[in-house]
Amino acid sequence: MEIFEGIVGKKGEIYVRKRFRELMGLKPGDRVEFIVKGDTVIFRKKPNAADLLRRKRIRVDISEVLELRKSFEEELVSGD
Amino acid sequence: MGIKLLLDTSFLLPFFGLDLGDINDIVEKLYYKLSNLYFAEISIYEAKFKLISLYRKKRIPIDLIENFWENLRILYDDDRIIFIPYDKEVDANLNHLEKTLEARLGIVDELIIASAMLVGNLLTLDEDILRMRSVMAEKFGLQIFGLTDISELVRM
Repeated sequence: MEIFEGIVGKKGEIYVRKRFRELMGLKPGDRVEFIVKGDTVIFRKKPNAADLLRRKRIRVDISEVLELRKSFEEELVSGD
Repeated sequence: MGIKLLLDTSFLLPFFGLDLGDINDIVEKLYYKLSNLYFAEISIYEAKFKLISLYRKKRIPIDLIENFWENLRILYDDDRIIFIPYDKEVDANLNHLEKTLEARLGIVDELIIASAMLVGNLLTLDEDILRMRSVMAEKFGLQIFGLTDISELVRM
């Protein structure tokens, strides 16, 4: 575990060390979350859509997925 | 930067843990190339339906179903992803399609097209929709693209 220090600016902005930004992979414009639990705060980078694309995935043939539109439409129309 | 493009449901599925081969690469490329990726609201329901169907066929594990909302929330929070809600304009487009089209399409196809008409361009793998390219361009000003047009799209 590493502990990092930061500084709160006059307008409430929080400055953190470069090493911390690198460790967290933070880039300008990234969104972050602060999860407050009592007097402890968990800080984490908020994932974006691109992060979802890089996660572990299950291989499925595209033709199998395309065929399911007909089933979806049938269920929508029939209500079954 | 780039054109405004609505993507059909197949291009939404990679965000929910499916590996659809080239489709995943295309989505990632478009994500970084275009300012926004547009999807129709109906695609959310269709994506969930498809995941549940695949799970019932034992093709995917339960966690892809269970993580759906968490992943959708990430998409909602991402400014680059825009879902077109079913509203007055989409409803009017759908009615216009019904009155104008001679050949019938499925209701989901028509909902996707009615939403895409607000954006101006649609990327789809649906053969029924692709067959109507010229009609859609002529009567509704909607440009429809398929997989073979990807390199052109990325350049636009």
